[in-house]
Amino acid sequence: MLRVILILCFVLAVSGSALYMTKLSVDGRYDRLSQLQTEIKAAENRAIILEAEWAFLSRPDRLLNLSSSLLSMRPITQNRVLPLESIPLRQPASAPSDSKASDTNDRGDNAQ
Amino acid sequence: MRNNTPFSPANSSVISALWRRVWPSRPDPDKSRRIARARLLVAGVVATSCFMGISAKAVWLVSGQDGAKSGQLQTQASAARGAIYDRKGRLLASTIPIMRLHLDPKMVLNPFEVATKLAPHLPGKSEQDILKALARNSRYVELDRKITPARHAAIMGLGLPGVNISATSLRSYPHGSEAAHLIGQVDRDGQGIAGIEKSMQAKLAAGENVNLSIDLGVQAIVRQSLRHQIERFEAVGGASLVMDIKNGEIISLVSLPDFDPNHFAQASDNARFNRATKGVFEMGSIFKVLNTAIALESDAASLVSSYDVSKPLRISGYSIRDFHPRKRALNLSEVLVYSSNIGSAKIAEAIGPEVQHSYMEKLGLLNRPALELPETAQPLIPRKWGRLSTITISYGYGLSVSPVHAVGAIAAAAGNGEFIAPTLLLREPDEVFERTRIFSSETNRKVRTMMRLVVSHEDGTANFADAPGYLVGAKTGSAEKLKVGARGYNEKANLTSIVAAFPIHDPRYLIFVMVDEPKPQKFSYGYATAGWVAAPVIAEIIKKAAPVLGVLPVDIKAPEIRQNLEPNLNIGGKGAIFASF
Repeated sequence: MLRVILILCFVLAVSGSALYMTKLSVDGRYDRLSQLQTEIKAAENRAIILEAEWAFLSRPDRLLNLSSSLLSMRPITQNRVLPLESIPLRQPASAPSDSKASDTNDRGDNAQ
Repeated sequence: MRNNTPFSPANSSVISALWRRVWPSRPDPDKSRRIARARLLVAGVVATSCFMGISAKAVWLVSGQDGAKSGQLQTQASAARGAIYDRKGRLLASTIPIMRLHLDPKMVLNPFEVATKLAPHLPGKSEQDILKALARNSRYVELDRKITPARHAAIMGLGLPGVNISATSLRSYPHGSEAAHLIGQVDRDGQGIAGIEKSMQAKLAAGENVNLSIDLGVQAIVRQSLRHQIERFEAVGGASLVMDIKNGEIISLVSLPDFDPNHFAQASDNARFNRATKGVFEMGSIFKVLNTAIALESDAASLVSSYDVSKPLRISGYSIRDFHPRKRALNLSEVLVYSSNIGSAKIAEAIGPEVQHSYMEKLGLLNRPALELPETAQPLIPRKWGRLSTITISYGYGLSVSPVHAVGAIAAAAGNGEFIAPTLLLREPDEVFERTRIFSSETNRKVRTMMRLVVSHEDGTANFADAPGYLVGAKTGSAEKLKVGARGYNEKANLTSIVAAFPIHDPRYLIFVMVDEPKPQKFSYGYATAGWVAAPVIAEIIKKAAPVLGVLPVDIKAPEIRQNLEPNLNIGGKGAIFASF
């Protein structure tokens, strides 16, 4: 009987310690979680402020002033706008034997 | 039976029985041992169960605390008010986290020290202001609602007791007055009080974002062009709308003068007033587009109908005159291109009050528009829709509507014949929405061609609205405003407006521009009519905004343009020539 009680006490002591250790580690993880959540919130807040700042800096009137003072660009006139279909497709290489010349031509086309 | 009782009353069985109860005789040792063992067992069980109870409570506390902690963590994340974006995802309004500085005067040890140290960190607040705040009989005095992170660090570094900083939020409008009337405003508690902020309050308060149909780029172009013209003609204000004819989306909504929503309290009532949706006006001649479309659709007139406009029309004591009188009969197209009031009146008489009223109702001109803004207006309808009202409404007097009304109705006449209620919310690509067919494609084709001739014909009133390559069709209107506090019209206070569609052979966008009370200028040869004031704004907007909207210039000689416009309109005695489109 005494042996059984002793074993029981030992088991209780071990499981109690294990429970306490688990509790401590869970506490640690919760602290980490709360720290991460604080960091996420701070990062989200920074993102919100940066988004607002970006919107503020890319105001159409500001961009217009900057572009008119720093760039020599003007609004596109209608005769400079063409639909994509109106650009003719590249002609197939006329002389397949002369591969070198055709390669050069390809590169030239791409560069344009 | 043994009797061990020291005193035993004699000869009375009742008394002896009672006595034994009060003073029982000593039990035998075996029985006493059994009783003692039973008592020990009970005490043991009670003690064990108490300890087990305590242990169980300890275990429960250990595990229960964790649950409470996780619940506490979850409550930290509360929903911030949703943001407002334009159709291309550009931010128009958002809630940003900021710091608020407040004092607890009871905790302040040395008010003079606090005032001296704090004042340099608070722009716009003097030491006297801070001392005055500290003298108040309160435990909470707010000094500044917008503390930046840099100032926050500096103020906390001062280490002053009673000076507290707490987190709060601020509704910010990074584009300032660019779309002020449209976005609206929130109050100090973050509740929407105007514009989209108010109409979308439930959605925004739940943390959801709102995507508008507005294109900020087009909005900026329209606002700049309109503001420039208002300044040139010393006008009191103006409004402009750009609408996608195909689905009713409003691409731009401008009302001038406007205000900076970041400083709403400083805005005047005039600046806060949304002329594009809340203001109702007699629109003048742009209503002739509707009059012509209704006449064609109801068979009250055809392209060959002829109207004598050589003499002013007298009706009920009123005289109806033309701005540019012509001493001959005009056909239906000429009435619109020359903007003849007399011709329009005669067409309206052929349409009749009932038919006109029913079309105006179907075009949404007699009810408050279903726009997603709290600032909409009920139109001013004549008390009796009789012959005189029918005639005056034909050229835009006697029925006051808001620009958003006019845009919705004219889009049906100049577009593809369907009435689509204008909306400020971005539509999904496959969204099904209500469309009501009002005009046939045949009527639309004729009306569109006439609108093109108003721009391209040398006698048209909107020559300045042309943007080469974009095939603009338009109709101008210059209406005299009602006198304030008196009967009749003020000849010197005009409301000039224009409505234009482009490209007119298959209209995608409708633009409305209104300039309120422009003054005649030297450079305009003393004119302050819509052709001089409002029409150039259309050309400016289309030239700059068409590339943004993805509208390509068209070749005027292309066959689809011939197919979609009416070739046989007779203007000035000769048939319209294609080249003149």
